[in-house]
Amino acid sequence: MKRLLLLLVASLATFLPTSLALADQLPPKPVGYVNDFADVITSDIEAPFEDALRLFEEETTVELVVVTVPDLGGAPIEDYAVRLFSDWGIGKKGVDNGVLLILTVDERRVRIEVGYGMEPYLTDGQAGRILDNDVLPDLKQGNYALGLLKGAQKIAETIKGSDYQPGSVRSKPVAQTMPFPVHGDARTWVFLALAAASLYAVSFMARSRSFWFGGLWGAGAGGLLGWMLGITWMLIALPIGLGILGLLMDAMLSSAYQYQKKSGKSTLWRQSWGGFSGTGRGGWSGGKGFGGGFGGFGGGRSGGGGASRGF
Amino acid sequence: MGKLIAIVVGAIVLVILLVGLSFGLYVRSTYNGLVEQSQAIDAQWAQVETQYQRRFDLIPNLVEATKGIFQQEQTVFGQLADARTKYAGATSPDQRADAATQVESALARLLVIVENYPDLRSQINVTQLMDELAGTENRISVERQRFNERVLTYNNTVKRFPSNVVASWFNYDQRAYFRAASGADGAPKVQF
Repeated sequence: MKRLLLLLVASLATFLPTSLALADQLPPKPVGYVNDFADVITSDIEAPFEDALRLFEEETTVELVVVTVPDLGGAPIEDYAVRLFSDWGIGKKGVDNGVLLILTVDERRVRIEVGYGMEPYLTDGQAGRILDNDVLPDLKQGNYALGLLKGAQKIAETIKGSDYQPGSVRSKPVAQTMPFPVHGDARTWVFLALAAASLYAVSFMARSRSFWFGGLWGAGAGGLLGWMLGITWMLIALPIGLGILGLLMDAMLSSAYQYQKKSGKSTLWRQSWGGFSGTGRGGWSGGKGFGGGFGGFGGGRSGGGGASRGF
Repeated sequence: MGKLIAIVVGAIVLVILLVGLSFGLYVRSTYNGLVEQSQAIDAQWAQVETQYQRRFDLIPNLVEATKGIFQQEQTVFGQLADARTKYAGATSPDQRADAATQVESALARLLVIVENYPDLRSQINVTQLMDELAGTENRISVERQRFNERVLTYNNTVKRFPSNVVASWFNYDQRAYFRAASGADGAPKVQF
């Protein structure tokens, strides 16, 4: 046992550095629109700054995000920015209307990274000019917060001044194969509910001597699944397949039940194999921890557009 | 007794049915995965070519803005013009990639020259042009990297067991990575 534990620790120790290297020191999660990881923005500025960017998002749906980091861990700011952008998913999904203003203290560089969808409204030339005229003067004097604030303000002005329309979004086409609009999540839940119901139905099927109920149940479940998948041959194959499966299972279960009963063993759900032998079925509690923290961005991407400067 | 035989036969049929079904589903999903990944690679390559085109569209403006000042650097402009003609005449993706990498070294040289002229850099239109160019180079490198990531995923599917068996049935072969030509590896980085 001890050796096993040692082995586990050793293998963990070998895997941990590689997984850490893969993560490459990206800041783990956004805390809001202003992410001052380098701690260069004082709290009295940070709160109104955050409010201004949130208001800008509400007004235009554009996600303008400010990030400061102590260092980039050796990566060029262009690579770092594009990875952070897609990692956090700045901008709305499918519209990619995000803009990232990022500053690194050690390397003394600043970059505006523009999401795919914003490229026509904030060109590389414009981004460069904003950095030159609005951001760099303050950065050169060590006034990082003010430089970023002015830069963000100018970016917002530029976008508002362009012909950007929050409504003119490229929305994803709705899948046509589905007879009714079910989300991937909803489908999973229906499937889980079906599976859970089947589990309980099994106990009733076992008690009956007849086979027909299992077959019917299988065919019904198959039909529902086939319908949800929206694939024609599945619609035919699943009810037949699951129907036969249900019949056979019911047959086996019914005889197993009779056997259990005859030999005087327990047929209670809890005490037989159907009840997972008292290990208990863990609840569904837990989950992702909603509420409180920042909800995250919309899942947008960028493709390296924008401009960078040293200061 | 008869019932027992029925149950055993049923169980065997069930197992065969399940194995067959899961095998069919596996082949189907692997094949579809290969098709999707292959399409994604093509789409990603189109992204790279979009950025190439953008770069070539920028070059005349850049040349126009700097030509008068660099009388002594005519070879660079000649190389740029050459590569541009080559790109326009290319018929296959491979030829286009070749022409695109050829232009990279010439462009990198031009950027270095521009950086050596501080008074030129102070002109707003030149700065803007350089920003556009730097942005394009950066986009190219991003899209190329994503291209290579997609090829990696696809090649893993083609090479790994058991999906490699399915891949060979349907003649899905490995795809080539993008490799920058020697002397032009990576996009030229412009720093101000």
